[in-house]
Amino acid sequence: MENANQIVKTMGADVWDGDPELIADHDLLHRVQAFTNREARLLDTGRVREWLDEMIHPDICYVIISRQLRYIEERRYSPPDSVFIYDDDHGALNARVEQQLHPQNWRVNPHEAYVRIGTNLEVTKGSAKDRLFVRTNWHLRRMRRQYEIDDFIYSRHDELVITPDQGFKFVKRFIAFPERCVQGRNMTLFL
Amino acid sequence: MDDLIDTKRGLQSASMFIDPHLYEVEMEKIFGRCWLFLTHESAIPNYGDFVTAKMGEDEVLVVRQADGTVKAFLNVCRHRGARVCPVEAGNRRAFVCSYHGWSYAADGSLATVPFEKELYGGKIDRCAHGLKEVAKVDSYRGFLFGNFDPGAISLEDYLGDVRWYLDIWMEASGGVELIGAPARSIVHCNWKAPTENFVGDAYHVGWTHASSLAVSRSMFSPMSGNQRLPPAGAGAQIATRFGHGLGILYDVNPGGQPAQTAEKILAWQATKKGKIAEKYGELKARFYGSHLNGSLFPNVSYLWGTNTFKIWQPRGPSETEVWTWAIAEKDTPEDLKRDIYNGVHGTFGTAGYWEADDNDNMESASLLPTGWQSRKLRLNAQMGIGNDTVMDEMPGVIGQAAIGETSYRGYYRFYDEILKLPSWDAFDLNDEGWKQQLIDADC
Repeated sequence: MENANQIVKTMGADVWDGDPELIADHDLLHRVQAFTNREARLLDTGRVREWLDEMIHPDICYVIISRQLRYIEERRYSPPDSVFIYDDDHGALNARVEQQLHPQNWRVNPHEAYVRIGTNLEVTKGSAKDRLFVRTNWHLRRMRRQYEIDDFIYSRHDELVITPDQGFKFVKRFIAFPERCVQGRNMTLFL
Repeated sequence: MDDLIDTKRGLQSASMFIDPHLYEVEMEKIFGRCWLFLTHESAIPNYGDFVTAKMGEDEVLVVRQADGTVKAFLNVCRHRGARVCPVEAGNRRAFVCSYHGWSYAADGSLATVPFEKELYGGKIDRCAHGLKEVAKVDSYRGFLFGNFDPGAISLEDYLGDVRWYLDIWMEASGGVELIGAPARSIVHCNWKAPTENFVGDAYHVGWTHASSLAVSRSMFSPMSGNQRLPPAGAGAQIATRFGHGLGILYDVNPGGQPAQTAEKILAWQATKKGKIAEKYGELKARFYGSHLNGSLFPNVSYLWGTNTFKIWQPRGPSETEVWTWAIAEKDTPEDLKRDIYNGVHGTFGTAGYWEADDNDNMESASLLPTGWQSRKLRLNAQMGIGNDTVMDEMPGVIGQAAIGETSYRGYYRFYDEILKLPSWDAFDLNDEGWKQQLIDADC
C-alpha cells in the first residue's frame, strides 16, 4: 500500500502541483474538449460498451482514492493514508461494464439517469511525446428510482494517448475523491 | 417492545427498522452495554498512536498508552463539548481542542488550560475534567473492542461460542490483519439491515448478486441467477448465545474473489492447510478452506473467504455509515495482499458492485416501514425453523443447511434479550435455555 502522495506521482497527477506550461493550440484544445464531451455523453446515456472499447486504452490505469484524515504536520505515524476506491485495469473495467449491461443487474432496471457537467479544462504535455495531461472539474449527478439523488463533485486528472489518426484514448485516470465519507451511497458509476 | 421479536416463530416486526424511540433504546441498551469494535491492534502499534472510532453515534479516541495498553475516550472536550481530535489516525502525546485550547494527555488527563490561573483562579478541578474514558477496552486476537458499561461481562465471555469459529481465521491461519485505512460511505438504511444480511443470508446471493456473480467468474458464480442451489451438506448456519452468528459454505474459500486472485489464494492456502490440520484438527482445517459469512452482535460483519471486514455505524434509525477493510493473513506475500485488497474493494468497497447490489434491498427494507400499514407487517426468518440442533463437534445451535435462517433467529433472539435485560448483573452466563428457545422454535 502506498501513501496518497506517492500515488499522485505514479499517476503523473503531480504535474498539476505547480504551474505547468499549458497548451494554447486551439485546434488541439478543441479536439480534447470534444473528446471529453463525447465521453460524458456516452456515459450519461448508458453507452458504456462503446466508451470502453473506443475511448479507453488497453493499458488503462483507472484510480480513485480516498485519503484518511491526518494532521498536516503528522510525522510519527506512517501507515498509508490512502484507500483505493478504484484501482482498475482494462479487465476490471470490462467486468464492471459487463455487470452494468447484464440483464439481471437489478440496480439499473429501471434505468439510472446521469448528468455530467465538466469544466476548467487545462491541457499540458504528457509523460511522452504522444501523450497529454488533462485536468478537469466535474459535477456528476445520479438520479434513480423515485427519490434518490447522489452527487459526486471532483477534480479529474487524465492522461491521453494521441492515436495515429490524431484521435485520443484515456490511458490514466486519477481522482483523489474529496469526500472522505462518500455520501452518495456507492460509486458504481464511472467518474 | 414485547411484540417486536417473536423468537418462537422466527418473526420480527418491520417497525424495528424505523422506530425512532426504539433507536434511542438501542443506543442505551445495546450500544451502551455491548462490546463494540474499535480498531485492530496493528493500526496503533506505538505509544501515542491513535485512531478515532465510533461506538454507536459516539466518537471515541483509541490511544496506545506508554505501558503498551490501550485506552479509549469520548472525543469530546470537557469544557464546552467540542470535538477534540478532527483527524482519523496519527500519533500524539497531547490532544488539543481547537475551541479554547484545552489539552489532554495521551492517558486522557486534562493537561493544560490556557490562562488557567488568571481566568479560573485555581478553581477548576482537573481530575474531574479529563476525557471521559470508555469503561472497558479489551483485545481478541488483535481486534480491539470497547464497552461503555463497567458492569459488562468480559469480552471473552461475550464472544463465547463464536470464538471457536473466529479462531479459524483469527488464529489458526497464523493471524490476520486489516489492510490500510477503511473505505467509508453512507447507506440510507437501518444498521440492523446489513448486519442481519451478513449474519446468515446465503439465500440472497444467487439472486441479488446474479449479475455480479456472472461477471466475477468466482467460485460462487454457478449460483448466479439462482441457477443452482448448493448441494445437501454443502454448508451450515450457526447461532450463538450473544447473537453472533455465521453461515459456512464448505470448501469454497476464495468465495467472491475474482478467478485470478482466487487461484493464487488457493495455492497459498494449500501450503498452510496441512499444518493447520495437524495443530487444530481436520474440521478446523476444512473450515479454514471454507467461506464464512458472519456478524458479531451488534454491528460487525465479516466474510472469511471474500476477505471482507465491515462495521455498520448507526447514524439515526434510517442511516448507516459503512466502514470496510480487507482482511489478509499476516504472512500473505505482499503482491497477493494487494490482489486481495483490490478484490475486496472491487466487490464490497465503496465502488464494489456486490455492495451496490445490496444497497437497494437494505434501503428499501429500512425505509418502507415508514408506511403506517407496512410497519405493522411481520418479517419472516423461518427458513429451516424446527430443524435447528446442537452438535458435539461444533459449538452453538446449528442449522444443517448451506442456506437457512438459523443465525437470523439467533441474532434477533439476543437482540430481544438484551433490550429487555435490566443490567448485566441480571444475566446468567451459565443459562443454556437460549439453545432450547431456538431448537423449539417452529412456524
